[in-house]
Amino acid sequence: MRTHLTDDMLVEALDGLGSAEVRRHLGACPECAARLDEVRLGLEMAQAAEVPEPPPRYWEVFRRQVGRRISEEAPARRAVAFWLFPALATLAVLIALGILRGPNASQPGEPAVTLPAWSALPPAEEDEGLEVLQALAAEGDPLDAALPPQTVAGELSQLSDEESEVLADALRHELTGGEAL
Amino acid sequence: MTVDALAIPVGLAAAGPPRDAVARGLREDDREAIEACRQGEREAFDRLVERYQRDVYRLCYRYVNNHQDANDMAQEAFLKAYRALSRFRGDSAFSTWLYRIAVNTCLNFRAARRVPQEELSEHLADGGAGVAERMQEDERSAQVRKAVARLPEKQRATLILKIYHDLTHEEVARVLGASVGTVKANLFHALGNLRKLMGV
Repeated sequence: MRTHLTDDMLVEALDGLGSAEVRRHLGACPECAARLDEVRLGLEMAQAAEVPEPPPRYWEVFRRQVGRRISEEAPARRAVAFWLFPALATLAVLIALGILRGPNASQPGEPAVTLPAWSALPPAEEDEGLEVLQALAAEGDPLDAALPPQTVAGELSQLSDEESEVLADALRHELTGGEAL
Repeated sequence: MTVDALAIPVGLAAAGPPRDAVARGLREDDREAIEACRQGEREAFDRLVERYQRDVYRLCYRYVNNHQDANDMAQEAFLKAYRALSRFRGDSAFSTWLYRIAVNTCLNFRAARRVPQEELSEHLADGGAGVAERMQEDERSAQVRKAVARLPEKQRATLILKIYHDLTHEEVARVLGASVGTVKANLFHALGNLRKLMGV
């Protein structure tokens, strides 16, 4: 092995798991051997550091405290579960209703608009002819202006429904020679 | 250094807790206790606490370096373990799973509190020599613990689990969610940095 040992290899050697090749290299390479000695020294220091042992009774108290905290937590979790399920069920229903009504659902307080189930007309905002029609409506009936009042058609257009009916009966009588149609 | 001298295992695990405290697979008594807990027998969890409280406390102590915080962290770790018990799949030792919870608890605690002592960079300059020789044994222990607490997070976690809790490289890797190669590299640097921090 020509190159120096990697950190992994040195750790394995420290653990007594180095291969024969690694051992041979360590025997022949002072640099790698020195690195191994350094980490071994670090290991010995680490091993010498003990954690102060608490008094024997501490462990019993510790266990009791953990047990108490679990006991305190358990009813709280049950209580949460008690109201959480109906709340979630209600929320689910509301969400489902919201989805069914869709994004065009009317806002609260806004009068509900009854729309026909189907219309051949495009929506107002997309109707290009709407503006023209509204302008014409503002100017009055175009037929009124087109027909002069002194013509037959002009006179007919001035008749009320009742007068139109009387006229229609008279014409019918003339056409049939007094026989009923 | 001779080849023969290297053949003797130095024993990275020599300073760890008793072997029976560290399971390589799911212990039968742990399995029984866990099953009982899942059936609603809360007292069964007491048995798990009793079995692992020392290890978890010590692990936490190595992290936070004082009794009060170690006590709080250890309790918190057990509480989290109890809450998450239904999610423990049993494909590793209970201790490995518990250590992972404890390490995360300590890491979160340290992140939240941001320990006053400055953490060292990954690579340290050599310190002065001869300091360790002048210390008394207990002072020396305290000094080493302080030095361990100053190691970068990953190095510290690796060193604590490997040296003080006798976990294999593979187990440490599982606890920390790292590769075995990373664990070995972190251990190497942790030991080197510890030596430097101690001024040797």
